[in-house]
Amino acid sequence: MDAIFQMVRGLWVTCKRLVWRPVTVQYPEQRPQIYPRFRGRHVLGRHEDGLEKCVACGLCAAACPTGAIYVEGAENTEAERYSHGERYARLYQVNLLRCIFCGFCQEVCPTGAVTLGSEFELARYSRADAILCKEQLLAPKG
Amino acid sequence: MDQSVTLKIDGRDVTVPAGTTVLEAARMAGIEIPSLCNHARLLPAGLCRLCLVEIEKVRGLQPACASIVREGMVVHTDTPAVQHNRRMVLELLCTNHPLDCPVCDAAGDCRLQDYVFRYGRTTSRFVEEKRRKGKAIRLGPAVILDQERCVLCQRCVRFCEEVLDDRQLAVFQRGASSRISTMPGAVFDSRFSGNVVDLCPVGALTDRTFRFKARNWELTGLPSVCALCPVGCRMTEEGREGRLLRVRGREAPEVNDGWLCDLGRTGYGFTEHPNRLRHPLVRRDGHLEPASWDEALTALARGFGAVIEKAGPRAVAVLGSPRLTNETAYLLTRLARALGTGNVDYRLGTAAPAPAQATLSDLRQAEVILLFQGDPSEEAPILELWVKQAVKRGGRLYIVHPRTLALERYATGAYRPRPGSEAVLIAGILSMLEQGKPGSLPLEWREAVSGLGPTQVASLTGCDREAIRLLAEALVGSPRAIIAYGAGLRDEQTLALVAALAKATGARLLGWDGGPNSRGVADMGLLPDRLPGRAPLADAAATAALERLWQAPLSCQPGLSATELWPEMRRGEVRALYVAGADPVTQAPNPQLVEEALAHATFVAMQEAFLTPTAERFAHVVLPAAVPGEEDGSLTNLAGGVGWQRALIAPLGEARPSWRIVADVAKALAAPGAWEYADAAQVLAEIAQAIPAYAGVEVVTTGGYFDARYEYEYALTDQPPAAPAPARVAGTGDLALTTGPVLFDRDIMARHAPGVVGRAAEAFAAIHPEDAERLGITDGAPIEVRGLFGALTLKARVSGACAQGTVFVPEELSELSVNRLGAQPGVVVMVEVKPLAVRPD
Ligand code: SF4
Ligand code: SF4
Ligand code: SF4
Ligand code: SF4
Ligand code: FES
Repeated sequence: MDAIFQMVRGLWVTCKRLVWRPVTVQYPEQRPQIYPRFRGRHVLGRHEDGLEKCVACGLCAAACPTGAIYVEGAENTEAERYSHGERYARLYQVNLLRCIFCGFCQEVCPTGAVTLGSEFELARYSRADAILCKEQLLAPKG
Repeated sequence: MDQSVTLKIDGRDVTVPAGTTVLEAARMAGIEIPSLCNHARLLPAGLCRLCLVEIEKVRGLQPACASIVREGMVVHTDTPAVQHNRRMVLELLCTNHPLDCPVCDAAGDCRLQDYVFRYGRTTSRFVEEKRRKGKAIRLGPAVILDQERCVLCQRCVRFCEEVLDDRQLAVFQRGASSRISTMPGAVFDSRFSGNVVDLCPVGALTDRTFRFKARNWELTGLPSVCALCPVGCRMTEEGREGRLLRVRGREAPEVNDGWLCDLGRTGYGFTEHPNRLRHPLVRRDGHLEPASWDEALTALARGFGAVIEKAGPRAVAVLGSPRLTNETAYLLTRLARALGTGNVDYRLGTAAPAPAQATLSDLRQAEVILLFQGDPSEEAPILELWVKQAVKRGGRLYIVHPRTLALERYATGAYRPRPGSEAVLIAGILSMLEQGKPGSLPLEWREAVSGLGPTQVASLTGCDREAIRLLAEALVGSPRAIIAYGAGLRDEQTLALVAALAKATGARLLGWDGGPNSRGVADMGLLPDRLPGRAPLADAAATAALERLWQAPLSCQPGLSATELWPEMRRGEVRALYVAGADPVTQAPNPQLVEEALAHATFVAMQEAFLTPTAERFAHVVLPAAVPGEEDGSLTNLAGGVGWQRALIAPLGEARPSWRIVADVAKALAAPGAWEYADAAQVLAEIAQAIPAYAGVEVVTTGGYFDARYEYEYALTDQPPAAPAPARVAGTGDLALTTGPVLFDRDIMARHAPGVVGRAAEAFAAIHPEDAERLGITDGAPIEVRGLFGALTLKARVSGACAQGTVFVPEELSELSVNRLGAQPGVVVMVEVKPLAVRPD
């Protein structure tokens, strides 16, 4: 008796799906929908005035469980200013092959500079290309 | 200190020497009491109130840093009252503290951060606007101040007062507006300024060369030794990702006690200089071109092989330098002797240092110090601190020097003998001793000093007779007297007299020259007339032992010294030269002769970190060598302490450690004996076998470094001291040339260190105001100084520190070598000085 009931229930599911629209997205012709809390490639944010938010505190690198981030600081000068205050990131690199998209870096960042964005197409032809530098990560100006 | 006191801290019985502070006693017992203003090497100040503890039978909380232990004292460090006080002090400190840890260099190594985390409140109750003060103030060439982060512990101020005795920093304004600053308009340019960065418990003072390069937790460090001057300060190298980023002082009471001078602290930048040699170079068609190691070593073997085949091994010479580590120097000695040549030396216009009989702690506690021909401030900076300390403790300082030194204000007596008469002054003191107490000198010495009566000495040296007598008395009268001679003493005759004076008075000798490792290099036997351990060549037992160790017959022929070498090379007797770390064209006393000689040489090979003028013009093969920070090796400091210099990073490009280069060259030349060494420590182990005095020296791998001191006596010369010869005078000018190193531009390494470039003055010549007036020279005007081999254009510095009738030109400033003027040991060079017309721009 119980076995028959189980079978009918299974068939019911099958029948229901028969009349549903397919969920498969025809990527890449069709773009998938990205949800707001999706964790994709890192983006280094800017302030409204265009200056970089990152101050090279290195906390993201320290928090990262896989050692995917490398930051090197330097001092702003009057002639060359990258961020507010004295310190900016001369180098900021993320190794996409190491990153597990846990989001710790975003969570720990005191200035809200690093966020995991929506970009998910991260395949590269070489390992070296998978290490993104600051210029690739920075949000466009304006 | 021999008494000990037992007290109870947090219920634990602690026994400490009488006179200890409660804070220190607790630390010894492993109980932490937070403290900000207290520092082991500064006097207690009781300023921060963070260390308050409860002491039974004493009313109120007491500062642990300023309370001395008493027998039976009962201390509580963790009561509610104590905890409350800590929380309160920390909260108050944070009211105006910017809390910008993310951009602060101290984060991760900051007392305030640690204490707030451990003892403080998690949230602040102060929500008001914070007080704004100065940020990123450039106090001086090495230090940057953030006044907002300062907790006013005054460690920096007290360092200037207590250690430097130079109040360059002070607290200004009061209350919450108090701030640290230099005197208005002044620059914090002390030679020791960087030490306040180590002292600052927070991130208020930061190191200009290190600023923002890495976070504290990202750095890895190794205990090492500074290789830039003969003090050999114990320090820690720190770096990240193959870069050397910071140097800090390391506790070593026997040497630098944690302090560093700014040359050592900020001078490591040469590791990354773009001019570093990255590949071997081989000369082809007159040009040095990059080559592989194999090509370079083959070319070298061919070059030397041809010379040895044609003219025998004695046509080969080896020139080292006092910058080499003991391992490199030892292998060079071994290579030369194994090849069969005795032409090996490292002295370019200096004398090999005499044995060190005093330690640096002895210097700090000396009763009488005779500073002879040396300027610690420029030549061995830490010694300036120790001399000041000795004077502070009641010691008396006597200075014999051609210039007025910075230390002169601490001196009981200062003597400025006429240039060239310094040896006469020493002989005069010896003769005074003999006259005062006949028989006090060995018979064979008396001859050297006979005929030098006080009147004659006074008239020859121009020093006051009575003053000389006082100096003699002071030296004899004290059991803790030290004779410290410096880089101004360049000839072996004067050195022998100074050593004799030390022996006769019972004073102990301490000496240095301009080179960082002169003592070690001389110990390794890089001398034409000595074996490793400075044994004479005729010492059959020593020779036999070395032959056994080296598995090679030893050439025990005395060879040519670095002075005798050049004429022989010009005559074609010496045809091939191997140079390690030296730049004879710049450094040798007679540059013209050296250039002619090198032009006659058939083959010149060099190992160097930079392309020196000698390499550029004369070398056939240049091998790229590692620099300090990139290679392991031991260095023997001026007091005979051996320190182990560590490689924190790999050599740049294809450069190799210097000792390995020598071993590779030996293999390429098929020198007899085994030349396989796994690392520098293995070479050191062999040194310990070869030189009895170094027998106890070994690398303790657990600690990563070792500190040993060797003591041994050897005869400076086999002859008794000779009567001082009348100084040879050369040149036709009317001012006597004096010279010496300048701290921040002393050699090729300092010139390639961005952190110190610009701290040395523009190439100058100092001249007495009266001479200047006579010659029509004004301060800062360009002048021409013409000496034996040419003229230098320098900036005049009119200064009373320079004795009348003399002109002081720094030894090597901005690559202008004083040797162009003909400065050489034992000769008074008279130079011509004239103002240059300023071109109207
Ligand atoms: S997302 Fe996680 S793994 Fe990736 S860089 Fe950030 S902290 Fe590292
Ligand atoms: S991204 Fe954020 S956490 Fe990482 S270094 Fe920059 S400021 Fe610091
Ligand atoms: S600058 Fe640093 S060392 Fe000096 S008083 Fe302030 S906190 Fe103390
Ligand atoms: S005193 Fe000499 S050894 Fe010490 S840090 Fe300065 S240069 Fe280096
Ligand atoms: S450490 Fe005792 S008062 Fe500051």
